Amino acid sequence: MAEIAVIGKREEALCYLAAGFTVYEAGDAESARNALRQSALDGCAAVFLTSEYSFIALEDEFSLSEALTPAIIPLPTVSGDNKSAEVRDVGTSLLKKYVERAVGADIIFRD
Amino acid sequence: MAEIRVNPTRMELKKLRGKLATARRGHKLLKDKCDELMRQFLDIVREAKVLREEIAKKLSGISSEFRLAAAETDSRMMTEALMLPSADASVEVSEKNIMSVIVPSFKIKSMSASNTGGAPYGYAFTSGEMDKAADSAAAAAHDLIRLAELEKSAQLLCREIERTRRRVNALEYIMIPDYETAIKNISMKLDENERGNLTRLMKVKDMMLKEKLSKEEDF
Repeated sequence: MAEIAVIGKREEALCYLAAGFTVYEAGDAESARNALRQSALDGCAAVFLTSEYSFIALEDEFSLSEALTPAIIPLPTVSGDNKSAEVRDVGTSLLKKYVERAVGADIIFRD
Repeated sequence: MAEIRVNPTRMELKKLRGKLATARRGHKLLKDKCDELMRQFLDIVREAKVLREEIAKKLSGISSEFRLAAAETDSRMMTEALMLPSADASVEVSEKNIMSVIVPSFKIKSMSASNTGGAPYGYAFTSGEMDKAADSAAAAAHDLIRLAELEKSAQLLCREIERTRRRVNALEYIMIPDYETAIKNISMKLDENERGNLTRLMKVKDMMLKEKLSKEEDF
């Protein structure tokens, strides 16, 4: 059995305690990176990054890892008003990058 | 382009023809693999895109509920209440094979609040908003884990597609043309040798005939 972790600032990450996730509080980017390395060592299956630290998922150390676990996932965030809420986050740009690398052009996320 | 340097012999020609046949078969198989990987990858990315949009909306709602709960409840009380989570989310990680790419499969093994008979905290110091937010967060856990599985699979498949495409291109544009050129060169060299031998034989036969004729004239 593996745990699911959330790394982020206290206020944002607290609500994931209710879902039974392990929360690693990080005050700055470096402590978030350390928490991420620690969670990988602890054998977490998936690690979610809150919006402040989602850019860490783009860094080579984590994005080029070929290990099955942990899956490092930036948490989805919504920007814009409620009527035209659009998902514009790091996770989407990561997916976009995967499509560009695999297909050669972005055929899924183009507007 | 570096050409293959081999001795122009029939043995080498036979070996190269064998290699060319293998390269062509490998190229076809890898191209098929690449196509199937691409199909699976695009399915996964499309599902991940939809799921990400859904989760983003859900998380936005959960975040608002928690902010509302935080405004109504004392922060220490709230932290204390959440220290013992209402659901224990742990997953069973297994491996799934997609066209010989090993991707993770997460199966959630959680014990939710509803199974244990309610929230694990007393209701005296927390608000109703918080109960609602906690329930919503626990409900979103399944989707989040599915999203993690899909995005990790997309990452691993993307890398394998890149690798396979590079192999296909290397076979198509480098190895197969090199073998074809080498085979052509050897064939030309062998044909040239053959023609040389034939000319030599004709020349020798001619000389022998002339010699025979001159002997007959002498008699």
